[in-house]
Amino acid sequence: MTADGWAEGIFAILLFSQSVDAGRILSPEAGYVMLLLFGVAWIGLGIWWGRRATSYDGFAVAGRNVGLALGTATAVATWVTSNTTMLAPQFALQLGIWGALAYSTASFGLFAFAPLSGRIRRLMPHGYTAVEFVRRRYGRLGSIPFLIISLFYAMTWLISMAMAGGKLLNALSGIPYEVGMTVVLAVCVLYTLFGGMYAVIGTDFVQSIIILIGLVVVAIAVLLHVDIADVHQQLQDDRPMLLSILFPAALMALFNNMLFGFGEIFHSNVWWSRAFAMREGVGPKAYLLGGLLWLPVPIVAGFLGLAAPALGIGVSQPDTVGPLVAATLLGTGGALLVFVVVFCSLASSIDSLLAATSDLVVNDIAEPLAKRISGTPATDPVKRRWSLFAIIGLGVVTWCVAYPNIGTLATVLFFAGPMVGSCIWPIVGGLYFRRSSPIAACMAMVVGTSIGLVAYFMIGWFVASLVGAATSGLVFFIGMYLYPDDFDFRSLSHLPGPPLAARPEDGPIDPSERIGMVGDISSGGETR
Amino acid sequence: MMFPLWFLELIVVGGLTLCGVGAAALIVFWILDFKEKRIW
Repeated sequence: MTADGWAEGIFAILLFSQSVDAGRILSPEAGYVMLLLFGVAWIGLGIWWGRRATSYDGFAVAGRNVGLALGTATAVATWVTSNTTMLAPQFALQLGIWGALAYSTASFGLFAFAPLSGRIRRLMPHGYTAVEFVRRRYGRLGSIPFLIISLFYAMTWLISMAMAGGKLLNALSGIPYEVGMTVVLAVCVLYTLFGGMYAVIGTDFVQSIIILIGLVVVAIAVLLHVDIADVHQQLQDDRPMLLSILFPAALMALFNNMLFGFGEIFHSNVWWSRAFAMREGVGPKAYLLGGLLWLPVPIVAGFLGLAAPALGIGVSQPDTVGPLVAATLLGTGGALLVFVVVFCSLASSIDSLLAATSDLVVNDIAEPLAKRISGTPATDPVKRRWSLFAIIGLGVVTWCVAYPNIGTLATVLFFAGPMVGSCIWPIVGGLYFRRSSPIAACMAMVVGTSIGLVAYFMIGWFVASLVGAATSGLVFFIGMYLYPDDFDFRSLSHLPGPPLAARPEDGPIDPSERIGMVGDISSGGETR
Repeated sequence: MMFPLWFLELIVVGGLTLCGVGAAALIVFWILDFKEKRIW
C-alpha cells in the first residue's frame, strides 16, 4: 500500500470514529491504530535509549548522572497516572472545587521529597533501593515490615494501573478489556526490558510533554466554548455544594490525599531509584520543579468536569467526563488526543513500577538469598540477568491477576493508604536523626498500619492515611525516646560488599566529599 | 460561603498557564542540557 493509501485508510478509520456507540469517543479500529503507533514508538525509543545500559548501574539507575530536564520530566510523568487525568474531573464533578484542590495536594509529596532526595543521594552514593536503606539503617527488624509494605503497595499499584488500562481503553474506544490491558502491559514490559531505567526516564520525558500539552489544548478548547463566569453561574444555580468552601467530605479527602501522597513518595522505590539516578545536586531541583508542574494538572483536568454542565454535556459515567468533554468540543482530534494522553499516563507509571520493583526483587530478595547460599555477592552481569527475569515475572503476575477483571481488586490500593502513611516517620527519622532506632521504626510501621486499617474499616477511606501516619509518628517518637540508637550515617556511604565492575568514572569514595554532609556534624546536634 | 468567581478564574487560568509554561520549560531544560552534554 502506498503512503497515500495508508493515509486514506487511517483517515477512513478516524472518520468512522464519529459514528461509534454513544459513550465511546473513538472506534475500536482507531484505538487499535493509536495503540500500534504509540506501542511501536515506545518500544523503539526504549531500545534506542537502552543501548546506553551497558552495566547494571546503567540498567537500574541510568548511570547515576541524569540531568535536570529528564529528572523533572520523570517526576511529573510518573506521578501523572491515568487516575490524574480521568479521576480528577470526576473528583471535581462530585466534590467540587475542593475535590480538584484535594487531588492537587498530592504534589506536596514531591515538594517534601525534594530535600530528602538530595540527602539520599549524598548518604548512599552507591545505593539502589529504599529497602536497602532501611535494611542498613534499621537492620532486619525494620526491613521486613518495610519490604512487605513496599511490595504490597507496588503490586497493587501495578495491578490497578494495568486494570485501569484495560478499562479506560475499553471505555474510550471499545477495545476489549483483555486486549487493552495486555497490550499496555506488554509494551511497558518490552521497553523496560530492553532499556531499563534509561528507557523509563527517556520515554517519561516525551510522555510528560504530551500530557501537559494535551491538557492545555483541551482546556483552551473548553474556554473558547464557555466562559469561566458561565461555569461559576451554572454551578451556583444548579449545584451550589460544589462551590461551597465548607464541604466536610471534600476537606477530609484533601488531608487524606495529601498524607497518602507523602507516604507513597517517601517510601516507594519508584522515587528512591530516581533520587539515586539523578546527578548529585539535581534531585532537589527536579523534585521541586516536578511538583510545581504536576500541581496544576488535577486542577485543569478537574475544570473539565466542572465545565461539563455549563457545556450542556450529559454525564452518564462520571469517570469518562474528561474525555467526553474533549471529544464533544474537539471532535475526532480531541478524542485521539485524550486517548494518547491516557496511554502516556498509564505507560509512564507502569514502566516506573516495573523497573523500581524489579530493583527490589534483585537487590533485596534475590541477592541476599544468593549471598547466604553461595557466600559471595552477585556480579554485575548476574544482577542484570536477574533484572530481566524479575521484569518479565512482574509482568506475568500482574497480567494473571488483572485478567479476570475483578472490580474490587482496583480498590485494594486504598488499603495501602495507612500502610504507606505509617512509613513516613521511620523514613524521615532514619534519614535525619541518629537516635532513630530499629525497634521504634518497626513498631511505628506495625502499629500505624494496624490502627490505620482499623480506621479504614470502622470510619472510612478518607481518614485511613491520616490515622496511620499520626499513630505511626506517635509510636515512633515514643520508641525513639525509650530505645534511642546512636547511628553513624557515614556507614551508609560504604559499599555493602566489594565493588563489582564499577565504572571507571565512579572513582574511589573520597572521604573529603562527606565533610559537608548534614549527617556528619560531629556533635551537639540531633544529626551528626 | 462559596468560592468566589475570581478564585475559580485564578486556579483555572493559573493552572493552565503553569501547564503550558511547564511544557515549554521542560523543552528549554532539555536544550540547555543537550548543549552542555549533560542530559544523561
